[in-house]
Amino acid sequence: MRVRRVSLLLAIIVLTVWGHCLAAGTDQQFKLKPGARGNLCLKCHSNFNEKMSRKVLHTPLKKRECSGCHNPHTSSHGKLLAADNKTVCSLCHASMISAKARSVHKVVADGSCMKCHDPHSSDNKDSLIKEGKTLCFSCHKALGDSFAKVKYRHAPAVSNCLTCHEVHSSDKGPSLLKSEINVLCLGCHQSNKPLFMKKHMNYPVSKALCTGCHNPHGSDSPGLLLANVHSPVAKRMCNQCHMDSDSATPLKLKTEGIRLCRGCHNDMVNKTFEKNRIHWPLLSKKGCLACHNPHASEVKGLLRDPMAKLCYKCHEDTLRRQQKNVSKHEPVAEGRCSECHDPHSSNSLFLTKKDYKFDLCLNCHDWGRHSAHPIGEKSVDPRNKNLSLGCVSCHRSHGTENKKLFYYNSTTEVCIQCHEKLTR
Amino acid sequence: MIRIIRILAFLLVTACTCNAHAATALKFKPLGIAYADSKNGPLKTPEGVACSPTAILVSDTGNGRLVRYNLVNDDIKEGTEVKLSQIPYPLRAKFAAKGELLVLDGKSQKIARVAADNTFIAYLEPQNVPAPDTIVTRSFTVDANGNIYLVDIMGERLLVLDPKGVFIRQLPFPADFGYISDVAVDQKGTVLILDSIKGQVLRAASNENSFTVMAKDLQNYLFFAVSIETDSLGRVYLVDQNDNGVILIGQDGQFLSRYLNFGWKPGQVFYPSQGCIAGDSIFVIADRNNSRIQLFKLQ
Repeated sequence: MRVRRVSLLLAIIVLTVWGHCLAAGTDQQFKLKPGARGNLCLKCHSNFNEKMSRKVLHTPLKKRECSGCHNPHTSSHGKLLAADNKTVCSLCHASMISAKARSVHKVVADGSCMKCHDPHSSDNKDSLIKEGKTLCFSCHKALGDSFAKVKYRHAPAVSNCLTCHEVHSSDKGPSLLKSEINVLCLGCHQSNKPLFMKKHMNYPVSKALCTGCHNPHGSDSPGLLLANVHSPVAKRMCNQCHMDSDSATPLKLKTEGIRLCRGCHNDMVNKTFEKNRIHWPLLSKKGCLACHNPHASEVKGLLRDPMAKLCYKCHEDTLRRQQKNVSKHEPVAEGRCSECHDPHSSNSLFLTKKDYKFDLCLNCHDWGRHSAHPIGEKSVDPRNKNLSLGCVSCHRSHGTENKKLFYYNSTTEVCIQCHEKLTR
Repeated sequence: MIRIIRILAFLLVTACTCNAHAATALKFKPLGIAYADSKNGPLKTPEGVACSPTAILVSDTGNGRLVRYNLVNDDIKEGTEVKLSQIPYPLRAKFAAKGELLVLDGKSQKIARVAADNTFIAYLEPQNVPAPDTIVTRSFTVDANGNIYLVDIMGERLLVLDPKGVFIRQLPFPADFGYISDVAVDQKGTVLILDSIKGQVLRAASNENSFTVMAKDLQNYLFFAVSIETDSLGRVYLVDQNDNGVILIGQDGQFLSRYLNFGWKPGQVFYPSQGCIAGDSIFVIADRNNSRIQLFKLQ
């Protein structure tokens, strides 16, 4: 019993002393003169008078504890910060990313708090550097530009991005959404209302993905439809592909894969199947839908994503390789894959629109026609008797780590691959 | 007595170490190249190779034909052309039961049966297969008993058929698969499939009904593998088409080594598309963009 009392007393003493030390704060740490804390810094940093007059002050600044974040003498970090600017905030603020996060704001994951927050003061809530969606659009510029131009804007997006999105991370939805896409939409748009049902041809779309047809931010089309709408959707002829709305399985497709699309796009499908090499995803269960959105898309051709992003989803290795390249073929760098490739089918390797070794290049480069170097079917590659010389004998079409899309790092090295006698 | 036991233990440990070393220190020694058939008709962008202990069958895709070579004392001989109108664009072929050949035609996506005398028999018509009715074969293989394994990308499954094409069983692709491009079967009947996009090898033992990951994160060692083969020791060979090489994986799924390099000269490969093992010691590779096949002695 006595031991317990002594322990309790000791704990109280320790806590009291520790609390006192904390209260003394940095005064003791840096042996400041009485009353010097904060004021000393502001004597030189006079521009802080303006910062101090703002509505929202960061707590350390309010307490004039500049040394809460800065070391007044030396530091290994910029602006004499007590830690790297990506970790300095976390010295006081616990992680803003939930352990169960499904999506995380990239700037938060990167530790770039100061992209949104002013570490000293601000006239905006939470010390934000700008207000509301102005702040969001300063990074999400493309979205901001399109939002400014579109004819119809989603009312919640006009008021505040945070109506639908979380700021730091979300446990419940993708893209920082406060919940799953449909749950979020149906929170306001009740699917059992007659007008809603009429607009959706009585199909139970609450089970489908709203963003498959609608742009949740804004659009030039009424109903916030995406920029490119598949003809049957625009004509509200859902039953052209789906079972009737009053059937037991209204959302079920009438048939699967390419057979469904063939019903309307017969000529295109026939043309595709005339060729020797067919892009395999076209023959898979998803068929055309491996690349196309059947309802609507922001991208021309109803592509699911902008072309490069779409292609790189499967051909990620091509992206990896491309990132290493010093010399980059322009169409590849700009994501214009279909400039050289036919994404459906071809008689050529790599699904190129013409033979990849020579003819394809001539579409843009007429240099091949007046080259002094032998090129063409009759010019045998000295390295391999089964090959003829073409552009790709020396250049890699996507790009390389070397200049001029060369396979090797000097012109000499390229030449001596065949002209071995000239090796010095 | 104790000394003898110690010596025996030492020898045992040494032997095990040597075996392990042999497993990883496999070498690819260039053995030969075939550029043409027996009448000097050059190969053109061959996509596939199939091996038996005494023969190599080339899917000479660019020429729309098969070329059958004999393998005699580690040397490649003859080169008989097999040209059939029913197979205008052969992609992959396999030696099957009763001396038959099975050939996947890229244009029709059908598998053709070819008799030992090189005549067309019929297209393979899988029987009693559960829905979906449409089967699209991306690749296939044949086991020692003549059973046929189809990578069905329409049904997102692996189909196992008996030599006559009658359904035996099916294994669904894993739920989060990327793109299943090839299949191999080892001597114990374990099925191996290759996920090219995810850089994974998955396996299912003969008594299992689903695939589990055998080797993952292979992107660290390869770009885009398109062909899988296995040897009698259970090692797995992946042909990395887009980074021009062959990856060797151990029975335990661990990466062991990488072989071959990009180029046009003998011993180098340019967008290789399939590999097979002849007689357990020769690796044959369809060196597609070099329009040839190359043989390497495994040592």
